[in-house]
Amino acid sequence: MTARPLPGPLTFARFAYPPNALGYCGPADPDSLLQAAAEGATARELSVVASCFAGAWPYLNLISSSNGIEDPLDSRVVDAYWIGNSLLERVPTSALATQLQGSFEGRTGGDFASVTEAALLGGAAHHSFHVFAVYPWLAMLRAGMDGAPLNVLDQCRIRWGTVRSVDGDIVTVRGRALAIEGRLLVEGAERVEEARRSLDGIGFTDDLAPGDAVALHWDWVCQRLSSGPLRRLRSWTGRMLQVVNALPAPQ
Amino acid sequence: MCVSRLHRVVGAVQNGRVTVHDLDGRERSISLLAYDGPRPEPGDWIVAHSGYALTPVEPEEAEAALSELRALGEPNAE
Repeated sequence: MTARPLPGPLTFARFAYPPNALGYCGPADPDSLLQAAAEGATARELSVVASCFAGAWPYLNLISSSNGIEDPLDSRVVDAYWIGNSLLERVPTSALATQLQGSFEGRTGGDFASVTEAALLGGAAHHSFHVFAVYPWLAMLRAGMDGAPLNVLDQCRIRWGTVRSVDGDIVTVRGRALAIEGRLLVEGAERVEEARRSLDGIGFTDDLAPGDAVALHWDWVCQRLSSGPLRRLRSWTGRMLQVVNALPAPQ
Repeated sequence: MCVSRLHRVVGAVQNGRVTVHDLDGRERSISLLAYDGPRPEPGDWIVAHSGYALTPVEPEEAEAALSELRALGEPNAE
């Protein structure tokens, strides 16, 4: 039997909460978002919140419109954006490039020509594309800046790992960190990291156990991954790494 | 999913960090590790992303961006 997917607005909120709590994006009240994402607020309430995430909403709209799905927070659309699925195949790269230009040009803190080029090289409306290609951090990393760029790229992508232990609100997860090899952004060495599954008992993954595969965003575990979503997340992340690694070096 | 956002410097630089207000009025400390510009002073505008200051913004540029946000109905761009 296949588990019924969570409602799209709820999944969106669970992945959007970690950067919101850090103050990086979205509306000004992360505590309310945490409560709503943990307890299951109404789809209408969460939809209003989701539209405040200026960096994600354009992608959700593009995925839904390209697939003839009316609701940008349909569970299939939200899954496509955070994890990756076949809906992304039906978003033309030219449409992605146009959407990016309209939504983000002048707001990325970097050279926008490379964003358009990456979209046309095979970019997808996947969160990892936004992190790797739209953010200014990869260019800064390639320009030789240590520390901050690689940390943001690694923490802001949706990464995956295997739970090793669970202790209250904190879990220990084994996964792979991003690394830079010359100009190439790659999956690097294995590492063990601590992440939150809850804050004072409020969280998104109650019954985690050692051996579970999970998706992480910043310092939080957002979702348990069964084999299908894990495979798709790895695959779409790998594809987006290939895209940004195919970008030519600046002259 | 985040985008670069305008922030106003409200404190002095300390240990490579500076205190800013975002357009929602939230105060936070951000890192200057990736900052490309002169030392920011209270009242200056900067662009920040994911907890890091990136570049300074001239007052005229900041005002133009705020005007644009007001026109788009951004309630906190006052």
